[in-house]
Amino acid sequence: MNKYMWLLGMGLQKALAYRVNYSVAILAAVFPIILQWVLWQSIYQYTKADTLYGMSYSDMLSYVVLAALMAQALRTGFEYDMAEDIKSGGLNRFIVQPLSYFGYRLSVFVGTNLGYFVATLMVMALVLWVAIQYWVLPTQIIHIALFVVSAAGAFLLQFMLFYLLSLTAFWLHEVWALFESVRVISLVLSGGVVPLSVFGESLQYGFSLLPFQYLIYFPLQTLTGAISLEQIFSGLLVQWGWIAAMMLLITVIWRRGSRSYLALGG
Amino acid sequence: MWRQFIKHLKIYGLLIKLNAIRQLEYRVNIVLGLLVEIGYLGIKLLYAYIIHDTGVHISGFAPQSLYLFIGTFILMTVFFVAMLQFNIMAFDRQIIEGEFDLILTKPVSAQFLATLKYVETWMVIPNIIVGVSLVSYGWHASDIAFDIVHVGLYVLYALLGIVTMYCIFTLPLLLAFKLHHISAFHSLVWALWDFNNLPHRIFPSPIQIIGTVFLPIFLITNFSPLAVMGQLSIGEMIWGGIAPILLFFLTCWGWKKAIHSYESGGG
Repeated sequence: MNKYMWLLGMGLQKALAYRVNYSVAILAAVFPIILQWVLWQSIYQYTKADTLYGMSYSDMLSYVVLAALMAQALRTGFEYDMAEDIKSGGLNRFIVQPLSYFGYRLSVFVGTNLGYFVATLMVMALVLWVAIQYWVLPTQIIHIALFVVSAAGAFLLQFMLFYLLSLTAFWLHEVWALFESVRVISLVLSGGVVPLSVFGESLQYGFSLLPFQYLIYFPLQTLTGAISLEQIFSGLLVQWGWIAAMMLLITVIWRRGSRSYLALGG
Repeated sequence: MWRQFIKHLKIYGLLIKLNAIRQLEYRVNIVLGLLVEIGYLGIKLLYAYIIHDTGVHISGFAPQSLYLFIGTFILMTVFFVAMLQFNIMAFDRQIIEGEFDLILTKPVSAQFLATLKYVETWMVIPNIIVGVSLVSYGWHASDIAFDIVHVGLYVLYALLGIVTMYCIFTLPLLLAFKLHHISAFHSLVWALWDFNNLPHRIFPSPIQIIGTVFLPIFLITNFSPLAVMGQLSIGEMIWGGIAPILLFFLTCWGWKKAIHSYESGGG
């Protein structure tokens, strides 16, 4: 266990060395927030509707701001390193070392992103405070506590999703487009651009059968108190169910992929 | 100067051809690249869907006029992706690794070669199709005459928009000569670019002024549709013509200054 904690610490140190990168990323998140802010303001002013897509103006604003931040918090990047490890023989050292590759990647991912994640959650806390004070958001302490659980699940689910994708490098030579396509699809289907209610009931039902909404939409529904406690608990069960299912799938695909792995690089 | 311009235009034509042939060698990459671009296009169209669904009028523009803006934004994305995106991503690397030394030895402008040598050709096809369709629909539905004056005005401001785009996204690259690593700047570039997704008049006045005068990002996609709709004041029309030229000279001057800081990193 100590070796994984050491890897986690190394990842954290590496992330702290690039603080400016993170600040710029957060700054970059401000632009789409402004764009969405003025768009929804114009729409609500023009239509004079109390609610659109099941959300009031203040709910919508809180959502788009928090969703943009949450999308930043769930950034990845390790998938390219993994694909390179698989293609160029970087896995060789894990064959001879008493170290699980999954454990290694998870520790480095947590270490590298934990700082980002916590810092973004702090910015989100500030936004939430504004939302509660000025936009009368019905968030209670229990919602915040359950959000932390669902956000931790989202963090892990995002890791599992991209880990699973990276395993395609056992069979595919070019994987960047697959990563980027899934990243865009995931951003839209997770509710990272607009709330899923915008897509209408039938599409939203279809999306609920996929794991993506448990990355952003569900944690934010939990945080903003838009769903009942019963729905939150059942949602949490499904979210952690997806994590377990992904874990299982990863184990199966890893075993199959390992059989076709060529230990290149001497 | 004119002869130099024609010479570089011919070279750029050759670069487009060479890049198109080179990219054809990896057809699977083209298909995968198209998939990624369709994904990003979907996000842009999501805004069009929301506007259509709610029927919102933004700053007096009806949804059909807004399609003209979104279509122009998508068409400008073609130039952004084809001309700039990959050059921006590769710019600091060629300075860090000393590849820039080779560029300096070529008998063409180093600025031209270092900032425009990669041209993405096939990946932009979905943007061309959707952009042209949206602009055509928006043009027709907004009852804009399809004559030489209007088309000429649209093309003129679009060309000026391309010059503005080149300058705005090239100027920050010059920091690479001093700082070397500028990868963090990329996420800012993409975010800034998306600011053009909607007409700039949707933003509060201070943002409109900053984006039109000080960092004229709104000149890129807004002025061509505004010009054909007769929504540009005389002052704006003049500024839309002068600003890109001023910016271009500023970029060339900045390049000459920045290049003095270059230290060969290739050993």
